Amino acid sequence: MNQADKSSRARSGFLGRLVGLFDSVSLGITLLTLLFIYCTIGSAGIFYPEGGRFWVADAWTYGQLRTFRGLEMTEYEWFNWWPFDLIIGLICINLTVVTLRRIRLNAINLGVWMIHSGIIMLCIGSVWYFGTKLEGDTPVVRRQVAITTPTGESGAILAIPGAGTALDGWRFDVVRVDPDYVLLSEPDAGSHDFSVTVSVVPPEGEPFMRQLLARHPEHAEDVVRTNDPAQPMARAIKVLGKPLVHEDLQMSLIYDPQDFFYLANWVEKSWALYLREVLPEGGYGPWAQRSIKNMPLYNDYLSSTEEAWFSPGQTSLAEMVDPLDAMALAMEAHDPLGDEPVAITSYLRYAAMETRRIAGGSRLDPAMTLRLEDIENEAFFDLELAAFESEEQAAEMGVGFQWANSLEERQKLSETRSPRLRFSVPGAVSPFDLSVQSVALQNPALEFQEVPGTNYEYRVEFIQDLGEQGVLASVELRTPGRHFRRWVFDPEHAALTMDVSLSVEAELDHDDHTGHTHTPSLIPEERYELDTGIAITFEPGRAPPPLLFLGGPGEADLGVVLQIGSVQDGSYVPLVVGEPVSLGSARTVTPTSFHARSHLEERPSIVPLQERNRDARERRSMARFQFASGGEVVSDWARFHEYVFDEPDNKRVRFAPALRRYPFAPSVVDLPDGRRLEMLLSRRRIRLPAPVALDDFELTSHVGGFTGQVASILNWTSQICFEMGNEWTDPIPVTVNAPAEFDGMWFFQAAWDPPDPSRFAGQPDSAGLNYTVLGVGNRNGVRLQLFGCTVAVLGMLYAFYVKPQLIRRRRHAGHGVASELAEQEG
Amino acid sequence: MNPQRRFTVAVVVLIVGLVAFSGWMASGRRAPESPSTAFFQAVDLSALGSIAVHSGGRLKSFSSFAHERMGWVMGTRRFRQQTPAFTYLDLMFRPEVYEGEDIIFVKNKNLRADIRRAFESSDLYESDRAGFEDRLEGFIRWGLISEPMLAEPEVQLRMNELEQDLMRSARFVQAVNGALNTKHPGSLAYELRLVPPASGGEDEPWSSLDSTGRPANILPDAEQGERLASAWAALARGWSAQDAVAVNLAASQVANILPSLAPSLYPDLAKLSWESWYFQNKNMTWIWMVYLLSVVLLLLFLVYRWRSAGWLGLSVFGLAFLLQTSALGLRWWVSGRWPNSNMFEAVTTSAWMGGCAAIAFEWFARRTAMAKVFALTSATASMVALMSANFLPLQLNPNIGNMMPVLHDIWLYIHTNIIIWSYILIFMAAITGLLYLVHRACGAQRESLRMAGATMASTSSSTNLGTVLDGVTMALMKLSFVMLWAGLVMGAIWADHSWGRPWGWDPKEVFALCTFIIFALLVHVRLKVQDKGLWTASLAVVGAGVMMFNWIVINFYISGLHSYA
Repeated sequence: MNQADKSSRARSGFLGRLVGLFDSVSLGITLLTLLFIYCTIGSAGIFYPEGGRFWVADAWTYGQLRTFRGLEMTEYEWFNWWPFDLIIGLICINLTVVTLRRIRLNAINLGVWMIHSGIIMLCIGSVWYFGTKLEGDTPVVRRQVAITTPTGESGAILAIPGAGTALDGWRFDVVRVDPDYVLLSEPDAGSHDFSVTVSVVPPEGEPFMRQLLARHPEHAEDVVRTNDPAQPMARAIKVLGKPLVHEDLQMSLIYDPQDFFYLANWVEKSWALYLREVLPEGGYGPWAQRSIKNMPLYNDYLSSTEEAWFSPGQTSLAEMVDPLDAMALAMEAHDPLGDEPVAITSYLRYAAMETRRIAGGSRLDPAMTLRLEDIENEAFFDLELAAFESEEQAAEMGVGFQWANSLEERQKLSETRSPRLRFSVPGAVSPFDLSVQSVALQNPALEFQEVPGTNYEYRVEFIQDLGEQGVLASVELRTPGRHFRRWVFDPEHAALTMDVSLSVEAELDHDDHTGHTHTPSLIPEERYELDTGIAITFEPGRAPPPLLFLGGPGEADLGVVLQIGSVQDGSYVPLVVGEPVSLGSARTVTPTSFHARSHLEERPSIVPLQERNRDARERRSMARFQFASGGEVVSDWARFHEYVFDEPDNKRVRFAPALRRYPFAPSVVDLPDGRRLEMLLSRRRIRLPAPVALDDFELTSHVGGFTGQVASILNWTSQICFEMGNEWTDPIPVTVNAPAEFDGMWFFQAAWDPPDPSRFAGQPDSAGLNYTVLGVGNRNGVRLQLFGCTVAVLGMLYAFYVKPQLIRRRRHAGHGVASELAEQEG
Repeated sequence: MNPQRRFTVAVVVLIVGLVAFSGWMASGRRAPESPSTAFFQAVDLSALGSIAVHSGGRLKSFSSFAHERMGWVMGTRRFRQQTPAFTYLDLMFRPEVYEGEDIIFVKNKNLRADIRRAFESSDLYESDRAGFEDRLEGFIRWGLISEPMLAEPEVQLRMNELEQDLMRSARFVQAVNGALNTKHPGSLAYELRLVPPASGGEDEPWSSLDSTGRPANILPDAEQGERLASAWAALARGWSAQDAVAVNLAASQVANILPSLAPSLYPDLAKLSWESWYFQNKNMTWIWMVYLLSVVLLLLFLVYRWRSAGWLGLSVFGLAFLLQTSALGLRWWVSGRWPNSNMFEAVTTSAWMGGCAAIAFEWFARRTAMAKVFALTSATASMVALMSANFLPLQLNPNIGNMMPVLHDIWLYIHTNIIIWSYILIFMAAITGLLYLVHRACGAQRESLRMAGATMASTSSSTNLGTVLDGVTMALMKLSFVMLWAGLVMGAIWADHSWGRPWGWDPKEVFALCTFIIFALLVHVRLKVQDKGLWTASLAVVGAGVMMFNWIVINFYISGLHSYA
């Protein structure tokens, strides 16, 4: 049977036609073209006309197709989607069929065979690799401080500046960490160690500091306060003759083993809900993770517009209403909800919880919004006011909002009154009333005046608003034999009225607006018995702000008392929402809303796209979880957390935030059955082959040392150990470009803890290097992939550079034979 | 007109256009500069320019340091034709001279337009509105504005708003604020860390001089410290008084004292001096002009087959290549590492690699009709690369910095060099591809080409122009095909042990793969089509387009793991 017959028989029948279809270079070209298009679209994105208006130039916009609603794919997912797998599969079949049927295996075609088989090997290796791929990261803290109190209570805190805990009446706070402490004591003088200083406040006795060293626990010592102003702190050994104040308080630095790693959500979506029960007796149950299916990544999904706040600059909330159909399914036996699924109804990519006031509710809580507008300069400012809250910003702008329960009260609120003092002397005929017009603080030459019918002389020094402690008038009193000061408080705080010495430590700030002064504190040098020879009462004055809005007594009543603009007589002007009132000089104020009943509500506020940090990825995302229990449904938002921090065991207590730069604030949800749960949104975590600990972390730098700039860093090295049985392995270095392998998993240097200055009052600075973040992943099939690639490279070299030489030689040989034949014939 | 004649006309038009474009680039894109001052002319900063300054983990010459810092303030513009080193010291010692001068560079054109709009509602400069409008026109065109103008409330308000837009405009506003901070005399003095550490430790920080000229760190030799302080104070006094003689004397003293403070730590003075020279000479990117001459001569040879033009073009190409080799070697020596860690280095080094490949090809093809065409492709590629480096210094920043820690790896060196080498070969192949398309567009008939075009062309020296161009395209394409694949594999090996995965579907990786797919298509399309030359040329051009997209659009606009490449 000749070749043509074989071929024609093979092409008959379905299988034959199928083989014939794949026995085509054109099909290969088509598939390669499809692959190119697929890769380009998935990676670079597309330009498309919004709303299909392709004829409008401005309608054309750029977008990443894979991130569109309905797809929500990471790059990894796009390139592991079935259309991609299908194209690759068809290319492999095409390559196989074409190679076997069209390319004879000989020296000439060896290169092509190698290229095609190398690519098929690469594809098989990739199926293995991507099919079993795990990739994530894990934070490993360098040390924790293990504590055992004299009564045997034990606990632990992370060796990170700012971490702290209370234990058995003791208070422990890490105040300083020196990652490169140089020892001064012999015989270890000059060696470097990881030093942690903990502030210790015992239940009784003086607080002290304890310095702990990671590798030299024998050098632990306390630092105590002294009475020497030149050296307020000194080593306990010098003051007390012993290195430790409380020798029965045991503190040491130990490893902080990490048991899990967290799957990289940006590689492949691996959302997880974590739940733990808040125990009635205090403390928490263990975290239980639930895997989440069908949750998006890039776009916002709301179940109603009432779930979030609208912010200017963002897409309208209505466009985001698209309830999710996602579930968080139990994975662990200790899940506090058992097998009961938890629904996810909404997801926001980049949002922050924000409390705003909204209309409605049963409680009287008047609120209004207004717009101050400068028509000439086309500028405006919106303000939100609540009558029962002190509005500092509004007060600074001279705006106030108050509620009057009656017309009399409204009248009273709109009045301007000077402060008044009433002097009464036992036995005198009638009290003496005084309207305070001038105070000595403003007018030092103010003369003393006689209290009529008495031998008392007075002058008012100042009037001061003490906030919650009321308002006081400081009155200087003089009798022939005595000179003192009386602080007279307003009627609500009259019990605080006292006589004091003339010397007072205080700095007074005068407030021109009310005539009152404000000062942080007044400390009399001496307090006297109250002089019963004279009684003084004080009625503070009142000066409404230039723009005072008054609500009430009816729930629809709103008006304004103006001290500026066209009406400055202090009269009450009724207002209608939406109608502006002139303030003069082309300025107006317009009440934009008014509600007698309102309440505060916390919702996520979606951050407009242009205000988002490009590198934030999903770190600002949140999801709304719905719990159904006993026929009732409760739901709440849970914010995304990079990591979940466990309590090491029941007796150890940690203080959140567990790691600097990684806020830890789980949401709390009260279930209808009375239980209380903590929850957070994070990534799925997988147990490591063995607990890993960070023995040491080194930062090497270029010439000139680490300057704070990344450019000055040469490398980072994490010295990590694994727990095997009850033993720790010797430290294994992991640096950038030099990972370590342990039990099939590879550990990479992924991130570090740079110096971190204090972010809020009370938080100590951090010199950094307190923890490392290790990348963790497996790499099955990599060798097959690389072998396939290498075979393909060799095949290309052979096909392009060896094959032509072989052909040339054969051609020359053919010419030679032909010449010989010609000569013989000739 | 016959096809050959039409092709000749087209190439001549191309040459003329090329020369005209180059001339326009060289002369027409420079901001107007006021004449320099006599003081600037009289001051000699050659000694001071070669002192070492510690910045960003490197010890660099003051010239290159000043070039970098003044770049942050003024972009590529110069004030009164002054060198960056002079302007740095002048800003430090005589800041009052620059008050009100347009020296802050705003790179982003949208931000320029926003700033201009902010002035529309302002009644400032009403007295000379026309003059002010001219100034704003200049700002829109050249991007330079004064600090007082930026401090206007309307501008500040607008800039504050734009700074809130993290996705689009914040970084541009922050760059402007960074420029304002950098030009502050206190900041300039603080950042000028030219005193080596007293401890003599390599890891110890270098310090700057305070207002009295004393270093922040305590020097072991107090007398030397006093001498330094005295010389620096004399420099400051002389500068303020515009006494060039005193300045030159004091600068020379400072330059002599500093290396003697810590001789073991101080970098090689010759190296600093060459670094200074390298930056004063625009990083030798002017070599593009030599390449331009070579391109013109080699094109004339290609069209008219003038042997003398060919040999002359090849010689000029050789000269340009030697100059470029010396520039590359100098940068390698100065930076202490192979120059391939930023866009400037990747582009210029790849062009040099293309030159190496062209020389090798020229050797093998010296007796064929393809002779000198490889040199033409390399000269064109190098000319384009160096012109880009010369005229787009903001995009291709020539400053020398340390490599990121992740780049310290042997596989990185192999991977990136092979990849950029393949890229330049792809670009070179596209040049012959384009010439082929022009040739066909001029009416040339398709040739009867076999699969291995290069092999065919190399066996004969009498093939026609289309065959020659196709042969060169195929020869370059084959090598780039292998190198691109090998480079991708080596990148995967590096990524595997650096990032934990050999392939991450990063846009840069994907588009390198897309480029490879285009060439895989080319190889297979040649098996199927009749008009092999046309398809080869077209796909070579498309492949180069995808490669350029990868190198430009992906790098600058689509972020990924390869942000440094």
